[in-house]
Amino acid sequence: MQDNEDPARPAEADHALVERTAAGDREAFATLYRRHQAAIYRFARLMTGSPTAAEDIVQEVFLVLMKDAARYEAQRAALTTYLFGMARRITRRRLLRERRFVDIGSSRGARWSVTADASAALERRDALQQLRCAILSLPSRYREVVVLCDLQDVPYDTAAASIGCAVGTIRSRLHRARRLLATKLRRAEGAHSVAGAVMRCAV
Amino acid sequence: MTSQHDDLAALLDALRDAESGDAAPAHVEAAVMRAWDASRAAQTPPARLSVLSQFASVAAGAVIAAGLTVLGGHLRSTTAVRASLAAGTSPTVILVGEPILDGEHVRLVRMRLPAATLHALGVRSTASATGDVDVDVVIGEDGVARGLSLNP
Repeated sequence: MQDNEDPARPAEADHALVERTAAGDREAFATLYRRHQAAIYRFARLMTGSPTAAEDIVQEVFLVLMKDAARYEAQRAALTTYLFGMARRITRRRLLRERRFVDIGSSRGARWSVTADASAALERRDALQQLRCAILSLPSRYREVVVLCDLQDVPYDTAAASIGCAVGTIRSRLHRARRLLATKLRRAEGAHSVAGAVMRCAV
Repeated sequence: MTSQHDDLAALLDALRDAESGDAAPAHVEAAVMRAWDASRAAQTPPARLSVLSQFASVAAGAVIAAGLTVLGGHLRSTTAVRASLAAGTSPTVILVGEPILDGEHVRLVRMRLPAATLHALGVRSTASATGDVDVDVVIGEDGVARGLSLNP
């Protein structure tokens, strides 16, 4: 989860940075932001399908951290768990509020004009876009475990703590989510011409 | 089934690789750090007033008074007045213009005005037109008043 840190200096532990943040240390807060923002951004974007919403969610997560740094208890959860949990709550609240409609027409509807030498790369892009759409159409309880465990490499116990469920629940949801994804991709493969310009993003 | 599972696993791996370099744009960090600076500035205890800052306060008061005049006209011509304008002893809150954004650096200016001045502006929040009224004015980052609280 680390980004943009000086490799010449040993990385300071998250909990120490949070303590310094609570004491008003701007540099500590900036380091925490740079260390964790990318993972939160990717999580939020995959969950919402919207870069703009993901930016808002990143901002909101770190504003909460800024205000509540003194209340974070390192012995209860790693900062990663705490941040993913917060991002999840904010994302779900946002999805429930907005009942987002995700535009998938611009990428799926416009079939790229394929030249012979570029066709493999474009097919790959197409497949990844179909996968993104399939993930977005999953119910959020399944989508979040795929995004966390399969796409962010978050350990099962961390995902369980972030979501607030048992590790066994993570495993079963992941199993179910993958089956749903496989089914959706198979259907998408068979119905390439469906002009579903707008797809409801399940909450 | 295993083949399908392998295909999906490979596709998930490819998506993870494709997404791995993505991060929030720089303007998000700038906004977060601006919010940090604004929050810290709000917590800084006020310094003793220098002659210059006293002069600035007087000037700000004059600007606020002028702003109130404009605001009065605005209030008379719009439906933005949310609170009861009937006489009473509880504070009257008047909201105008754009809402205050989360994290926006606002200033609160407290002043005392003759009730007659407010009456003349069309704000009849006090039982009588005599005496003074304490007024809190919330000013946004752009210098525009966003709300008034009148304490008769």
